[in-house]
Amino acid sequence: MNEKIVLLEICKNYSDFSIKASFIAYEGELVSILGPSGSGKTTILHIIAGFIPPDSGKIIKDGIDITNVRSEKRNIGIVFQDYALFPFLSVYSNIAFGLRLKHISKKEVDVEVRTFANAFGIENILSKYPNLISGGEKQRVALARAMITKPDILLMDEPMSSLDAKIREKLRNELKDFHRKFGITIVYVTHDQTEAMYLSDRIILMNNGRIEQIGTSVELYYYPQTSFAREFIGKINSINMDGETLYVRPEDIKLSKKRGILKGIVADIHYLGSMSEIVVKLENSTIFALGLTRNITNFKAGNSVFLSFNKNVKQRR
Amino acid sequence: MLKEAFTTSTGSFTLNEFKKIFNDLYNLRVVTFTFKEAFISAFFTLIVGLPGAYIISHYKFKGKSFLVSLTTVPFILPSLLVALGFIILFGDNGFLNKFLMDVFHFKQPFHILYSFAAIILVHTFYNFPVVLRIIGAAWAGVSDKYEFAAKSLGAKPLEVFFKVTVPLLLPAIISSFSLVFLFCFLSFSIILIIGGARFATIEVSIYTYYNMFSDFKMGSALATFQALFSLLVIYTYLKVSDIVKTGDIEKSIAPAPSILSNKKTLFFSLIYLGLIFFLIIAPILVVIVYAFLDPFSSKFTLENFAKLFGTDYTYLLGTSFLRVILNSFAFALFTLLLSNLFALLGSYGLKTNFKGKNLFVSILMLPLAISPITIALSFIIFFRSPINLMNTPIPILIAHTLLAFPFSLRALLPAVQSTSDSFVFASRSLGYSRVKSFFAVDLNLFKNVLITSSIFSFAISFGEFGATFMLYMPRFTTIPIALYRFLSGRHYGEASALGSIFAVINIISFILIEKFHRGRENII
Repeated sequence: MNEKIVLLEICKNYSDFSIKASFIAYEGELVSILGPSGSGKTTILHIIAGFIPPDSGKIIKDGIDITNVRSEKRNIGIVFQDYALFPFLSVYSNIAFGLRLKHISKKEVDVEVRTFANAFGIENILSKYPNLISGGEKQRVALARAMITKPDILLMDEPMSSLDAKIREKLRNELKDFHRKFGITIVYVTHDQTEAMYLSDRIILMNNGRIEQIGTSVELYYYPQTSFAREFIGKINSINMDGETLYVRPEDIKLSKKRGILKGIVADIHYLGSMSEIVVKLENSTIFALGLTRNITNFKAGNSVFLSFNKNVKQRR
Repeated sequence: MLKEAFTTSTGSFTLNEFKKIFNDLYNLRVVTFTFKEAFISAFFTLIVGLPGAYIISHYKFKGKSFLVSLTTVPFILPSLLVALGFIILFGDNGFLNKFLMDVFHFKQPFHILYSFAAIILVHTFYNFPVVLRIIGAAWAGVSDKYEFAAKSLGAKPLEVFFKVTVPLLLPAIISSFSLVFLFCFLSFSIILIIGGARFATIEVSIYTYYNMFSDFKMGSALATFQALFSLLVIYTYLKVSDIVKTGDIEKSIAPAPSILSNKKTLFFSLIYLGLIFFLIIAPILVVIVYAFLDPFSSKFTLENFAKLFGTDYTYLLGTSFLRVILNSFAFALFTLLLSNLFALLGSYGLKTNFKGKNLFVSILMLPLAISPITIALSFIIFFRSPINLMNTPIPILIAHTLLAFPFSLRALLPAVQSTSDSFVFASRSLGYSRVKSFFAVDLNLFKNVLITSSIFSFAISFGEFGATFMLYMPRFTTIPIALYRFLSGRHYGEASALGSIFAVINIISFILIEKFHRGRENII
């Protein structure tokens, strides 16, 4: 795979905070930068876009050093968190904005705008103004506006965070389709681990301005390399056994009324739908187990219970 | 007044007076001059104010908030005082010419005053803080994300400025332009004093028609024409300033850098900020300095003040100086009370929603658009009969209240409207009557805005010249009138002494507003 964009030892210092990052996004990949708020992920995106200059380090796009190239010359598209659609322009003019700067004939612009509007299913709102369209529509307009100039890379800054849960799920699927269809390299910033795992080919996990781990969703979930990665992605129990600490995901714990390697008491049951979470009190800790709701209907708070782990647990620490 | 404008002396309806506005060469010249003067002044004000708006919205530096609050000064600074300051600075015997003649041995003084350029200069100085304030606030509220979005789509810096920044600021630009245009359009005392005999705005000629020729009809026609146009402008202003307000402050991508971070910007900013500071402070300062100088020998003296408090000028003022000061304070205090009372009543009335509420608010803001001279003229017509109230202080008092009211309303209305009813409900549930609750709860809730509104209305009444000038009798002479008398009699020393008293009161007002109004919504 081609290295589409490379960040080489990028550093940015603020008075109370600093960022250090190196990573690669390959051609056609969707890479997420995942981390809690204040971890520096958006700043990295703005450094790639050229809005903020790094203090040191290099940004290389398609083998060319673009560290000192002005943002308008980088050919990198961006979708902002709240989309930043120009409020004084109609949807049509928003989408056409990038093309109109290129001195292309009106007719060609029109053809392009309509093509992209169709591709994103917004052909019926072209004459509206941004304050009158829904959040989902805004996102599509923002995507169309960024994509029409045929950027080499698309940056997306938490584009789902201002939408409600239902629409978010729908747009997540749309985004995946869109990515498959256009095959563009996307760097996607989010603080939502579910979203990152769902969308990404690879995830760059950030904390406090540093990269904690880079890997696929599965790698990050099952092979976390730092304690932050372990805690941030999914739920995890730490259990002391025979002098060593075992890290066990809730779904890797099996419950039984008869036998197991640990004994505890059911403290509470959280019904979550198809799955349910059981809180078990051990001697000196509390752990969470996750199972199909239908399998745990015979447990009640106060019952004593035996725990055992899936076979593969011991190999992962 | 409308009646006077549309009727003949026998009482039948006529449009003749209006035709005269455009047929009479003198009137036509006055009207075109007023438009030209206001347009050019507003244009220059915008140009001068824009860099400042950029600096205060894009850089961090010490004393920025103080500088921004300095921009309130022109709203409470009487134009007479500004005119006096300019005469002392730029007049034929002013500081500048004295300096040039002494140091460079110029034979002839520069004639700066009494010209078209001088009018534009004073208007620009007087009003550019409006631009600084309105556009600066709007610019700070516009996130740089739009500019970055445009850049990511390939826009070059100039394209970003004209295709993104300017459209985003357009509401603020229009709103500040229309406000400045209005102020210059209605300019009275500055034209009267700095313009000399050659120049007259509509406002000045309404006064002339009344004062020299006792021509109510022509004056009324001009006033009506002027009011219609001002209404149009103020409507634009209010409409657009609503849009400016709804643009909420958004987070910026690149944090505002310190002004020290770039040598070049620092250099230009320092020059510009220095100029701003100088322009706002200088006229007040020179007045105070000049007050302590002997007009002929330029040595320190207290003579000017002594003369002021003596009886030398009773002939000029028509009353004793002490009386003048008392008058000013009495008018200002009554204005403060009435203006607050009406604004409070108005704000409570506007708490409920009803059809046409926006229109009603606009109507309440009308006095902003109707000039002091017009108000005075209509009062003269109205209060002459059946009972002649012109020899009582009532017309002046009502005029001052009318002029101060919009400011009070704009201070109180947002506060009253945004305050939840729960406070009053709570107090009533604890056994307070509505009236008792008003004193125990409401007044405390609105204490700070009431104080701000009080200072504004006090300062407006205290500095009011145009309407008082038309309505007053010697007994009711106020400080601005006295100041004008000294100015037109070229008693600059005494004028400065009085002006410095005036300035001190204004500085106190400013400090008080600063203290109580920090971080609140703009009144204008």
